Amino acid sequence: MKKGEAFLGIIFVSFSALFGALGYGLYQSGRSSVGASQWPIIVCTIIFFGSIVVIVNAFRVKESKSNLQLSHEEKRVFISIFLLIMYFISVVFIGFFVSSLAMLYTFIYYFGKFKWYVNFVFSLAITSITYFVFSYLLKVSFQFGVLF
Amino acid sequence: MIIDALLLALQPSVLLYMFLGVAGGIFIGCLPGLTTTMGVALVLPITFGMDAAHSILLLIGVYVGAVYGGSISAILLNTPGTPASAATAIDGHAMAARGEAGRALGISTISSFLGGIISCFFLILISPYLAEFALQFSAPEFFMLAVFGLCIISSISGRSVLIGFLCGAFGVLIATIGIDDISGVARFTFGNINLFSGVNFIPVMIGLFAMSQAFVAVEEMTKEGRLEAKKVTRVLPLKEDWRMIFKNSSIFGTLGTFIGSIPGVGADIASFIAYGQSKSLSKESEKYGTGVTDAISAPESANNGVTGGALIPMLTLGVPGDAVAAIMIGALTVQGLQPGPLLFQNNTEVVYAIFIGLLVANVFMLCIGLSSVRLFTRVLIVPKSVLTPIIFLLCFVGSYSLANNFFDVIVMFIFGVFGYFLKKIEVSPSPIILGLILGPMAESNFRRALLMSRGEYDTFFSTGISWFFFILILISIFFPLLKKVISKLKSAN
Amino acid sequence: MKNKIKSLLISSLVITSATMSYAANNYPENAVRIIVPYSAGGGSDSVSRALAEALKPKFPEGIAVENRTGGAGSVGMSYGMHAKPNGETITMVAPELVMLPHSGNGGDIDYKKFKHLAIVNSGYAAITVPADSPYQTLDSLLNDAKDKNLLFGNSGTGSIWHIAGVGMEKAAEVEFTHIPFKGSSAAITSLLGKHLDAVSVSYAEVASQVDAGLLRTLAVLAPHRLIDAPNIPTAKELGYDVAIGTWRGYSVPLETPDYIVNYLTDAILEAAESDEFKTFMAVSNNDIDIIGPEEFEKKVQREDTFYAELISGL
Repeated sequence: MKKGEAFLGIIFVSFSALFGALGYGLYQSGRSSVGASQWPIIVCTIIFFGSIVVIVNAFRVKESKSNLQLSHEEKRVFISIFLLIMYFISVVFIGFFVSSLAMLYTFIYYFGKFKWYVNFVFSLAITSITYFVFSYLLKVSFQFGVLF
Repeated sequence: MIIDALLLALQPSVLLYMFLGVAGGIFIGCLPGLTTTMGVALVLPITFGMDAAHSILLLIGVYVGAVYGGSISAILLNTPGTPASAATAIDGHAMAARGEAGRALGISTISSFLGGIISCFFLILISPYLAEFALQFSAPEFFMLAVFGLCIISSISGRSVLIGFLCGAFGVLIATIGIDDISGVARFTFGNINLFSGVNFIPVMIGLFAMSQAFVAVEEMTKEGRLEAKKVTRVLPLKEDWRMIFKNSSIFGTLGTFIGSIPGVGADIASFIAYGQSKSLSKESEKYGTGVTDAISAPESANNGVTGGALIPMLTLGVPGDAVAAIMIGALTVQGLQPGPLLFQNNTEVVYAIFIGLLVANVFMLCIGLSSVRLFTRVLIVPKSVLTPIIFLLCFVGSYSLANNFFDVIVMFIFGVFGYFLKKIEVSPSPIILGLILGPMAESNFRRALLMSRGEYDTFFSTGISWFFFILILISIFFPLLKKVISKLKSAN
Repeated sequence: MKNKIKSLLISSLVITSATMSYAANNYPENAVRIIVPYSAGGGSDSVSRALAEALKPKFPEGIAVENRTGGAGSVGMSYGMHAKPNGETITMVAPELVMLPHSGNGGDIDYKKFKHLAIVNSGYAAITVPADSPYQTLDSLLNDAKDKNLLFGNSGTGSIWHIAGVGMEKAAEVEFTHIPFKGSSAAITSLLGKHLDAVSVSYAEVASQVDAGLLRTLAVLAPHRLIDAPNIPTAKELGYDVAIGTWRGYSVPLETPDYIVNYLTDAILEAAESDEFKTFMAVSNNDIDIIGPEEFEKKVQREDTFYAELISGL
């Protein structure tokens, strides 16, 4: 079986079931002949049955290798995802500049092989340029957290 | 009159502003999350202190630059800078991955230029007629156009049409979140105020393309830090590309102008339609997605074709052709000018200055584009261990700065992880974007049409334009099948 | 001993009031931002930017506009409502503040959680038809509406211009088919293409087409004739008691100290009278309409009950 496609099918099936159920409770028509609920319900129905076909197809195909183990590379991606979540939380509570500096330093340290000061200079330069361009030229406000 | 306009548009300071505008536009267009509309809106306050010619031509410069700029990051990093270049990324990045980044950028630059110039001529020569044509579009026609656009899913879904179709439907479903345009009912908002206006498709796009691409880069990262940087040898299209570029630009530049002239339909839709049509016209359609030159040239000439088209309703009727034109109308009103038919009567020199300015902006775009292709491709030499964290940072900043809302960052991140998963199982994320763009257009116009016809379904077949699109829809569904049958028959013989 | 405590208390009071008055002199200590709940480039945005420009002399540390869009304005207004009450975040508010909660689409926004400073601008709905439409007067349009179910375009269900259309039909005791569009300009475009019978969006938005002879405004739903269009009658003159319009005001969170509120109110009222703001408003087709804090507060309360009634009847 193709695990990935089956998984995608399951995501779609549950998603369309949830939205379909919610959509059923929506206000039906009003003055117009087609109300707010019909369209999402139609789309949900299509996704629901289409995804079941995908799941069935995925189970029919025989795939020899079935390794549940994450590869070394995939583990790195998951660690990155986790680090990014930490980064987003830290931006909100600590501040944009400090968190971005720390995030860049950590990732460059993790991915690359530079001397620590080279690493630091890279991080500082990138953060400063981004902060300058967005905050001063493009007037985006980075008012988060306690530090700046 | 023309001399007045020339004097107005070709003042050294106006030229300088336009040059800076195009350069700034390219920069904004490159960055994921900073859309064309946002770029123009950011420049708007600066123009308040200028006179009319400076102000409007600076904005046009930014517009033209930003629409083109999106393709640079799309090709080099598989990260479309603006939604209008999402279609370019499909084959553009495949070419760059083959080591032909320079050639791809060259094709995109020249196609964008030609598309822009063609739209300029349409704008100058037949804009009143095009405006008349655009006004024929009412809800049923918009619905048909949206459905026609959705048919392109089969061209961009990659490996499996069924999964591509489901992804498109998923995008349509996501787009129903938020307050419904027609009934005013909140759908699927779970009481969250951030969902009232729906899921913004820009963060979704950044997540699905840029963030997921960065995760793939993390996976491919070698500890050595530096991937073998492919040397960029050429910055111009090959000799054999030129014929193809001219052909595509004339067809899809025209298409882009027509689509752009229809109010409410913008560069993103035009480029997807161009991609889909180019594929169905092509003799080697099965190669699309692997780095075909036509697949860069077609969407790029179409999206720059929109630039001239979008100005048509603004200049002839005083209504915006797209969100950017809406900002330009604001800029003109601040100058004390009324966009619309009166502008032709009272301020003819400004109208001609806009025509000339659009031509000049396209020339600037060509010059800046071609002269800095080498510079852009330097980005590929940056070690991935540094580039990937930068992309993480830009994804965050880009999605945040759209509305200064952290919620958009969360949306971006969720779709980033989802996009990575799709990449792992080799499913293309483009149909989701197409569904998000066209879903609301299809739904609201379907229901609006029924409201306007008071519930009569034959409204969808009441005009020539609807029939035209209906036939196009049938062709785009059955033509690929027909082609398969014919080629089977041929091979059987 | 008692005296000592008393004097200590008094002196501490004196010190706190001194620091308070010191703080009063010290406001604005930091940069101030105006939250605009609508997107950059629109009417609300450009009016706020022009006002910010006129306010600059009073805010040496800077004053900037920040767009926080979404939910027909509820996202930005909610953000401004929950901002720290230190005068560093001003929120632009519009009738949506008192309209959205009644349709259940307002999230947690509540006009009572704001201290309202001043209104600087208002605009009224106009009943507009294509230039070659058979309807020359509002009466002929409304007469036909009795048996013909006319198509009335607006800028979205629950939006102010939809409410204006509803107000019109209530006043004339007829029924229209309301066709919602995403924004006024889409409705105007459809009207230009003659797919609709009339629209009920603001006069400022149709002014350029009316001047060009493409559209014709039959009446404005305003309490008085508009300065820009002195020839167009108001609905009231024609015998229909309806006046619905939008306004743009500025508010701060409820807990903001009085000295800051006073400083800001004075600054805004003064800026709205400045020449540069006046010129901007004149060229951009916006009518200046200055309303001070007390009248603003009353207006918001009045409109809250008005919209509660109108929207619940939809």
